[in-house]
Amino acid sequence: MKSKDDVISTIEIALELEKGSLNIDTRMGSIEQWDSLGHLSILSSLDILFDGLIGPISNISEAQSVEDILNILIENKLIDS
Amino acid sequence: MKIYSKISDIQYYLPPKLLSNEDLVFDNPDWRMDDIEKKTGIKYRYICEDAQTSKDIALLACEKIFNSNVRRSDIDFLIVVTESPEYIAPAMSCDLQNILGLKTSIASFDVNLGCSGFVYGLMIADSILCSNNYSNGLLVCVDTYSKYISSNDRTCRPLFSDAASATLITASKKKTVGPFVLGTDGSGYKDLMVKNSGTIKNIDTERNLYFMNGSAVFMFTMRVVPKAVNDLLIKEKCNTEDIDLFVFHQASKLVIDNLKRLLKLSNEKVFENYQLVGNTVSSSIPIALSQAKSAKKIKKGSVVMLVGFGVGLSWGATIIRYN
Repeated sequence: MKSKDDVISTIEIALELEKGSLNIDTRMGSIEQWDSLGHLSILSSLDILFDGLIGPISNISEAQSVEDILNILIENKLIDS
Repeated sequence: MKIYSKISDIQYYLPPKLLSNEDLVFDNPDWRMDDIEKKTGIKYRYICEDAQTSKDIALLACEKIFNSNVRRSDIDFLIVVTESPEYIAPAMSCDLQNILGLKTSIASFDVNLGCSGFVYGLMIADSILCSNNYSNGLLVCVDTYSKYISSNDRTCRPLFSDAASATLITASKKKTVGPFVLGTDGSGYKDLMVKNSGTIKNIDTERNLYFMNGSAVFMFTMRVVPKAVNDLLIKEKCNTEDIDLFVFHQASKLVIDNLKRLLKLSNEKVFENYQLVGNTVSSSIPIALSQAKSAKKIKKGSVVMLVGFGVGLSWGATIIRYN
C-alpha cells in the first residue's frame, strides 16, 4: 500500500516542485503551480500512482488541499490513515 | 434489400483568424503560457470574426460538400449539431435548409449537444437513412464557443476553436457504421454550461458565459470513456488490436494522453490534431477524420473507432469501416 509520503511526493512531481515543497496544509491556489491545470496534473499523476483507481473517485476533483486529497484516499482505502 | 449508411465525404471550415499562445499572453501577461501549452498541447485556435456566426461558417462547410460530389436536390435530410445557434428559435437547420437551397420535402432539425454530438448525429443519420430508404443525409456540426468565452478565462480560452463541419452520409449496401454506445450523466450538467443563456436568468451572472469545471470534467472523462470503449469492443466482439485507429474528441493533450494510458494504446493507434486545430467541440471528430484520411492514417479497409464526450455530461462511441 502507498503511503502519505508517496502521495505528497507524487503531487510535488506533478506540479514540478522540489521535494519538501508541500505539506499537509498546502492548498490549491496557495502556490502558483497549483492552479486549475496543475490540479488536473495531480489527478492524472495520482491515477498513475494508484494504477487507474483514482478515476472512479469522482469527489477527488473537489479536493482543495493536500489534506483533502489524503482524506479522500484514506476514505477509499488507498492509503492508511 | 437492407440499406446501410456510410460516410461519403467530410468537409470543414476553420475561420481565418488565428489565435496563438503569444496572442493569449499579450492579452493576459500573468498567464504561464509554457505551462498551459505543456498541458493542453494546443498552440493555435481558430476564432470567428465578431460579425461571423455559426450559420456563416456552417454554410461555408456545406458549400464545400456541394462543390464536390452531391447535388442539393439529392439531400433527403439535414441534421445540425450545435450549441451556438444564432437564435434559440427557430432551429438553425431550418434557416440552413432555405439558404442552402435544399428541398422543402426534407426533414431538418437541430441537436443540442457538444463534443459527443458527431457520434449522436451519426447514429441519428444512420437510423433515419436506413429506416426510410433515403439516399443522402447531411450532418452539420458547428460551434462558435469563442462567443461565450471571456478574454481572461484561463480554463476555456486556451482550449476552444470555432469550426464547422459537414458530413455527407449516403446509402450503402454494406454495413460501415456502428454499432453505437451512447451515454448520459446529467448529474454533471453544471460542470460544462453556458450560464444564463436560456430562459433562466440570473442578474448576478454575466449573460452567455461559458463555464467549465475542468477537474470534474477530466474525472468524468477518465471514468466514462475507457468503459465506453470497452463496452463497444464487447458489443462488436473485437479488441483494440482489431481497431486500426482511434479518433477521440480532441479535448486536450492531458485528456488524450490519459486515455491512451488507461486503454494501453500506442501513439500510432491514436490520431491527434489538437496541437494546431484546438478543441473544436462537435466538429473535432469529423475534422480529425478528414485530416487522418489526408495524412493516409485511414485507408481503404481501415476500421476506426470514434469517441466523443463532453457537455451534458454525455458520451458516444462507434466504429466505422472504410470499405
